Amino acid sequence: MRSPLTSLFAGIIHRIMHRTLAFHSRGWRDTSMLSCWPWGPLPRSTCLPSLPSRLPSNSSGVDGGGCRAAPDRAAWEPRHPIHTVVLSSSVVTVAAVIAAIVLPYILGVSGVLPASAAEWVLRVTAAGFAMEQSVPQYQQVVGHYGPPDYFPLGPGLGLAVLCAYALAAFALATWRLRRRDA
Amino acid sequence: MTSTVRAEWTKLRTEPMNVAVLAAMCVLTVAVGAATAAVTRCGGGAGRAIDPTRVSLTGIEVGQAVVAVLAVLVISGEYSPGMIRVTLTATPRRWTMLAAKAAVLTGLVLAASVVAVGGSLAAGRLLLAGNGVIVAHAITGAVVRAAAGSVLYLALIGLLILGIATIVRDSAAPTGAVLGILYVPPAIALFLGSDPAWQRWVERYTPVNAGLAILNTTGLRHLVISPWPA
Repeated sequence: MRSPLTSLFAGIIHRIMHRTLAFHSRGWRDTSMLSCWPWGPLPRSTCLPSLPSRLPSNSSGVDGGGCRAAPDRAAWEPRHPIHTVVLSSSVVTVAAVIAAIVLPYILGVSGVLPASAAEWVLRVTAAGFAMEQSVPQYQQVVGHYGPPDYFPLGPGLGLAVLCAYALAAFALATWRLRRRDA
Repeated sequence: MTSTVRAEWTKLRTEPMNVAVLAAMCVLTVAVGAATAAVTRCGGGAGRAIDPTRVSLTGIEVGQAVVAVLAVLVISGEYSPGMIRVTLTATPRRWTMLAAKAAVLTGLVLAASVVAVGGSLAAGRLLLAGNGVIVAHAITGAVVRAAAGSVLYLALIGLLILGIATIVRDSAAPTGAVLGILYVPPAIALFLGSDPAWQRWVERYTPVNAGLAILNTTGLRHLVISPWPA
């Protein structure tokens, strides 16, 4: 089951870029901020990858439709601040998120780190991938119960760790959105 | 050409973000290398021999992502605010402009990499010796090759990414594409164990897998691609 899911990485990278681009550039952020007062519902619509995009992908709708909410975009830009809402530049956001998701996994699985350290890295960072294990471990069978087929956490627990990260990122994003004016 | 290089240098130097990115590259590379060395003990690596140089330079895996950010900023930082119009009006020859950018970027990345690689090796040596791993006192030719090779590796990654970013001209898109090129093949190679021919191909011909072979100083006979053409 594990091997066909390798393309997940490419999917993750595409998602990160799509979300960042849709929100950050083209000034859509300004329009969204004005229409979603007091900025409560915004992170939910922009950060959850499984929801259909609510932001149109062409900017001509904004400029041509006459509903450009913030005419002086340059004044807003410098205040753009590990999701789109927390970091400032789109280059740094994309790089940081991809490196934070893919790199610990490569370090943990490739055998660069010693076994105990690799186990901790996989437990703390790449926990969500534990969801993909589908072959049970048997105590009486001696085998290599390690990545990429087996993860230190069980599937449910791994997903719970990922949920905790998502929750933390959302809490931070909401806190930052409320603290500053954009 | 000299004046173009000076112009590029001024642009790169005066952008505070670039300086921060270079400093972050050094700090992250040394920190990850030192952390890996700190947890590496004799017999902990599943019966494998420990290559002290390779362990100390683990931080390169992270450092290259930061080099990627700098290389994308060098070119996309001009396209997104429209600065490129001024640049190309001053230097209408596209090739000269790109060569000057490449020269300045390579120089900066080389300088920062020397600091990062030197720091990683020194920190790794101290921490590994503290953990009881036997580290040879003499600096052999293999260690010099690994150190110089890592510096060269980071500079080449910078150039590769500058090229891709110049083709794409956007900011977030090349970052994603380039980090995909850097990080996806190593992840895929890990799963190709059932198909050794493909695994060998991926490990020989993708930039990170092939490039990082330069870090090895021991067990060279078992590598799928040798660190340096003999």
